[in-house]
Amino acid sequence: MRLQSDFLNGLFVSILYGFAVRYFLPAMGMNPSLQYPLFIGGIVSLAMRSAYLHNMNVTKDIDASGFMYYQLASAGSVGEVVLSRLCGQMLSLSITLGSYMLLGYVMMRDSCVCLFSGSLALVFVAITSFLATFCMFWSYRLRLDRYLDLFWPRVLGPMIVFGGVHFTWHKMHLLSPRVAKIFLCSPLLYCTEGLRASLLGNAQSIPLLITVPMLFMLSGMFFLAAMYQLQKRTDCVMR
Amino acid sequence: MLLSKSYRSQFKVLFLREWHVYKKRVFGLLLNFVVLQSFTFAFVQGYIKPLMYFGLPIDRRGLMVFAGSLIFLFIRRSFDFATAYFNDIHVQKHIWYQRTAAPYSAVYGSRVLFSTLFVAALIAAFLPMPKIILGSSFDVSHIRWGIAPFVTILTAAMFTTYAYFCFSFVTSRESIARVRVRLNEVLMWMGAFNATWFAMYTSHRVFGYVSLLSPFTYATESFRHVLYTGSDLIPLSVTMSAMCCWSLAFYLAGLWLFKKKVVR
Repeated sequence: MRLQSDFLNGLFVSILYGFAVRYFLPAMGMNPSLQYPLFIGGIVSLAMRSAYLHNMNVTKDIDASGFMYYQLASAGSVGEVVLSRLCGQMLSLSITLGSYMLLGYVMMRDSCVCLFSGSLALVFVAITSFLATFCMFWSYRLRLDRYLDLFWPRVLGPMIVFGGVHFTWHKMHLLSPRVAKIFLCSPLLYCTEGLRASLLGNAQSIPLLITVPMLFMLSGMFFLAAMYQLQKRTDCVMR
Repeated sequence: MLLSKSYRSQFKVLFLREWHVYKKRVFGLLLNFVVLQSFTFAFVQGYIKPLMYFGLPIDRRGLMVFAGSLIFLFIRRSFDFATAYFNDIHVQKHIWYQRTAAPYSAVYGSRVLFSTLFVAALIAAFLPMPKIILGSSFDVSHIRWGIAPFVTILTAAMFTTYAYFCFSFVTSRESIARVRVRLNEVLMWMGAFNATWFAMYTSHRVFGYVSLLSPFTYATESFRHVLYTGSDLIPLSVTMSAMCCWSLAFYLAGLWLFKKKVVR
């Protein structure tokens, strides 16, 4: 039920964003070659927002409805619960992100874009698993009020700022190599650059050999951290 | 009735009650919004975007994009207050106690007035931050200081009345998310948020005409007049008049919906 609503909401925003980068910003003098790279940045930030909203319900499942305790009692282990939720979220994110990409492909009419390739599928799995595990970890760590008040301004906001949503890393590197190196600290940069590299296939993005292993490594780390946090939060002895 | 002494004293008590509720949150809001968010906002909207889009950090077009994105801050802050109003009706139900003690117009009016002033004050505290953070990379030499306070207050009034109007017809939390995305985002992108109204008009006339239907267009164009005026913008007299009309319309519609909800 939520997937349909999330999908429609995301579609609204991505269509509007597509209009802005395709028509309005070039009318103001923006370089048209930036259209697709910026659109890719936009849809990654939308996917991040979708993961954030999805996990808001996860933290409600612990604090408000207590559904998580029921799940933990009926499942074999904490790992099983985290893994099942991760798979669900990855599926949901794949559907939303995939449809935004398809929409961008139709709107931008860029012949250089390759939508069906093995590298894209790999990047897709890497991005969705990272976004899901990252937001899941924070939703297990923070209580609902803190998740709503602090997570966006203190964690996601800076991550999006340095995450290559509004710029390409290559261009930033041309302007200031030192500043560009600082930007490598944002995990979201690997998502945006990875998607740009696999879709546009140009040499101006960070290579897939760096972005994909980095995303899988971060996903693994956050998965283990999420398991630990869930155990800690729901186990009255560890708390 | 509006000028009677008892009405004014009830209004004052309700207004002070709002301050009593929010004064605990002032420090957190200043820290999160004015200090932390200003860094990220100034860096992205004031420096990165102009640099990427137009190749220069100091460019009139960059200021136009920056002015448009300020609207996003108004929306977020005014919707924060409106969410508290929604919770007071549907969750904690404080509004029903207030309603027994004061007229519905005083209850609604005091909240709208307080939220407008608080939003305007927060944005006013936020506005100098981009210059402090970006220094010479942010051009303020063309700012029209004389009209800035009026535009800030009027924009805050329009967004607050709009947010209260939206939350007067919404009945569930799920609908709040839908309003935020399907109404706000559409009005925002239609409302010359990323590019000036003229750029939208030149890319296609239909976009230009559709954009005039969004109340947000008048707010973005007003802020562009404040930062760097030009003949390509909708005249300031038109934008200010339109914002006054929209504010009044949203206020009266919201008040009517509120009356329908609480007067039985």
